[in-house]
Amino acid sequence: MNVKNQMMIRFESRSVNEAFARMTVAAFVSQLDPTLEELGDIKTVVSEAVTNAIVHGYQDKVGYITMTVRLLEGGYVEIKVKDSGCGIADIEQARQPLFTTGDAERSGMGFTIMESFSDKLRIRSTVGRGTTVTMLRRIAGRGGEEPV
Amino acid sequence: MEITHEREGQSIVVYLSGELDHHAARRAIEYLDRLAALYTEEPILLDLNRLTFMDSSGLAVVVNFQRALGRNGRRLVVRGVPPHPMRIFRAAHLDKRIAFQTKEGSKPI
Repeated sequence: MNVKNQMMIRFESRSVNEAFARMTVAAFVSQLDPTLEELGDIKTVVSEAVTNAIVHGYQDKVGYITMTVRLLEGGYVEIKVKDSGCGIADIEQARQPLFTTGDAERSGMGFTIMESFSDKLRIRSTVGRGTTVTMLRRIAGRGGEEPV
Repeated sequence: MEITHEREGQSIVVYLSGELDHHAARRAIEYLDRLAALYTEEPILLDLNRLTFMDSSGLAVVVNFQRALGRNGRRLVVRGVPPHPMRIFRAAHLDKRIAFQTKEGSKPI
């Protein structure tokens, strides 16, 4: 799929940046004229992926999160959230509903929510090197037709 | 994220306003834990009508509050859930495990 437009940001893994990340993506994706529901879904998957990087990837230290958003032909949005944290030893286990290594603020439903709100979800991780979560989602838009 | 509570008849109603994410969740959990310890007799309602965003950390906040109340045999009732937070509850299949109050009354769990 050809790339119509793209952007990349890099920010520190501080929880205050979760809102910054999802609002930035929402602003960029708004050129596809998404419905409120589509925009809510996109903000949610970004929030989940960035929170995972902060809580599980970097744990008690602060590192950088790189987020790449690409608008592809056919109205698809690809969002990539990459950290250089501790990595995930068992991705299948991490994807299981209710599994969490976080504390009381995490429900263990982050991957389940991301899977529900994405058309495709790919997780690549190497222990000690970091994790990249890539989500693909088609935006039908308020007109319901191909917007780009 | 703003949390307030007020008395409404016999009940205590807690309002969560703004964006409920991981950044806001710890403060919300602490507030609700204190509330569960403070009001041990009154029915408690959690009103989410003023939420503008919620992710899975919001689920943790609600489930923790439900658990805190459940420890002394009480039940949490949630009302006014906006459409997008309700999509989160449904995606996590928690809509069956939480008592939502509708206009017709409280839905059984």
